[in-house]
Amino acid sequence: MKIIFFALALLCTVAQANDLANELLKASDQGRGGFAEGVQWEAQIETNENGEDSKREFLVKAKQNDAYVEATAPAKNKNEIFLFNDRQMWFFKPSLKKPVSISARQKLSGQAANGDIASTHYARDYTATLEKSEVINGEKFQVLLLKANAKNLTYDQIRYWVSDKTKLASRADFLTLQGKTFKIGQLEYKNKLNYQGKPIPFVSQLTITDAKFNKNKSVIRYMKPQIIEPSASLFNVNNLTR
Amino acid sequence: MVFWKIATRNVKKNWRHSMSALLSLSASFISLVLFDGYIADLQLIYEDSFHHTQMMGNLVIDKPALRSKEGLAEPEKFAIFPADQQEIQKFVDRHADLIQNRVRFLDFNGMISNGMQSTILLGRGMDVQEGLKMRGDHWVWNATYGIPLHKSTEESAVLIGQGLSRKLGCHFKRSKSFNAFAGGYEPVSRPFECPTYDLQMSLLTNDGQLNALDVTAVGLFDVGYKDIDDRYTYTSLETAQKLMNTPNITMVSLELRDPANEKLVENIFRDELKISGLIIRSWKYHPMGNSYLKTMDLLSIFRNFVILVILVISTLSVANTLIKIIKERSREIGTLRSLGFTPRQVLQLFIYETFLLSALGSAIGLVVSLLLTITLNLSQIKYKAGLLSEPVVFKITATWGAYANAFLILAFVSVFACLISTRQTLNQKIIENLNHV
Repeated sequence: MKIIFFALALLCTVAQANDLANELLKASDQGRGGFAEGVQWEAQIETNENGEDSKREFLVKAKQNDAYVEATAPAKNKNEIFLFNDRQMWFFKPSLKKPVSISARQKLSGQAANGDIASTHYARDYTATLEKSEVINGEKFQVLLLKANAKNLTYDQIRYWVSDKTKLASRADFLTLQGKTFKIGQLEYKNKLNYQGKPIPFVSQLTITDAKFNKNKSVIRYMKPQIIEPSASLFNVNNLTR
Repeated sequence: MVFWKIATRNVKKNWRHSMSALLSLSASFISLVLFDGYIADLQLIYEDSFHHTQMMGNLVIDKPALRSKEGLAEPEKFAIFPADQQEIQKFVDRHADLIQNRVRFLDFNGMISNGMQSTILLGRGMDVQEGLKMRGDHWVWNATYGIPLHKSTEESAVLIGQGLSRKLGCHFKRSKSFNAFAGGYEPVSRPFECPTYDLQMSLLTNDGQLNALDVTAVGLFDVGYKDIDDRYTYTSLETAQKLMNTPNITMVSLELRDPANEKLVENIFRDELKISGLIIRSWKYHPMGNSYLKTMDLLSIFRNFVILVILVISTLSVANTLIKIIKERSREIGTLRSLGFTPRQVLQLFIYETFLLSALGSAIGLVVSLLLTITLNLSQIKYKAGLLSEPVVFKITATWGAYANAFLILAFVSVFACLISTRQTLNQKIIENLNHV
């Protein structure tokens, strides 16, 4: 009897911890654009890989499962469009007659993958479990282990540090399928976004560093975030050619 | 028999004439067999490369749709799944009397990085132990520098192509000669230096997930073709499956106990295994073998062209010599005819004589060719052969077939030349033959 009681108590604790983890994840998504409403921002990606620098700029419009990413710089990539319909990805540029479907294996795999540019809904894509609590520079963080809900997500697992106080994530370790840290993401929230009548912090920079070779890194700067109400046609692949 | 005796005597008696004919014939014989032997050796190099070094064995089992447009977009649908693999294994076990060995492969592509350089990677995972057997005695040691996979104790060891290693900053002092005389490499670890031996391979799995694996470069190898050498790696099947996060494989190669049973095994496989999309074929007809077939086609055209040139020159030379000899012996022909020899008998006599000269010329050519073959093969002369990434040893393969062919060709050419020139002389009147100056 005692054993059953103990087991039930343990199950309740685990369930509560998982609920807390998922709530924290949902809350932290807001700082990265995870709203029910649409959101727009400008992204600037600076990458240093093998001593070579590159810089690209995008305009991102996202709403729930859809995202519209338009390249704005450099000039040679201008007007290239990546369209995300849930997990289906399309690519279009003016020289193409029609959009090209990008299969799972053809996605970008550099320091900043496509998934990093437009992913906002970790709560939708991952199931969180509470691993541990950590105090970093006097601030308490809950460390969550996010496990992908689908096999076709860019990262199978993410270890995620969410602040107890701000409910914002400050670090994300992207893990390989074997659970080894592959890339480390550091998040900053210096942007403010007016959401439901009050300003809330919004991600301003995501620095992704190669865990093994830390000179290889990408910095994604988020600028001019704002709530928008994009029309559904923006995310319709058939409209890309018009 | 009398005619043979007369013919033999004539060859000896006219030794000056015979010598010039023999010289032409043996020189032609040597040119033909040496060139044919060189081409035969190139063919053997390529066959050995596919059969042994690339571990293709005799037959390859795969799903061709994997290389189609659909297969490239969704490779997970066209792989050889674990259930298929079990069926193949059962087939191999059932026919152990025909099949000696099987090697499973998983191909992948992605990026390889040493922290300072990243470059595109083409990789192949394989059964290390079975691959070792498939490579045969000569290629057990398949590392040009460092050690082969089966000698490594590292958890995730990789062999990298020499070209790829250069891209990753590795360098090695080119050994002048590490080719074992009988083929393959001397089984010793030749040093190579890299900025780091710890590399990272990363790729998107068939499901589209990003995965990476830390691997250790334990050795370098020569892929064969330069373009592939700049990208290729070998690793164990386990490492490749871990990296690709899949239990699937790309293909299986089979080595038969007797290569003559290729068709038999193919037929049994088709009768017994009805797995959708899965086929068995000789490696020569697999897309990987296409380069072999194309190279062989090219070599065959080249060979036929050169042999044609040699034949034209030989024919002209032999015919010229024989015509001259027979013309000079017009008075002898006239004497024979005046003694009662019929033109047919005179022709027979000269044909026997020419045949004897061809046989003798071929015999001399055979001895000289064998001596030259042995000398050249022992010299271990290296040269760059077209698209191959490493110089290859110049060798000539002595095949009795080529020797027999050369003899038959030269005998035919000589007899033909003899027929023409003798007939011309025989068509003249006896008095004209006797008065020939």
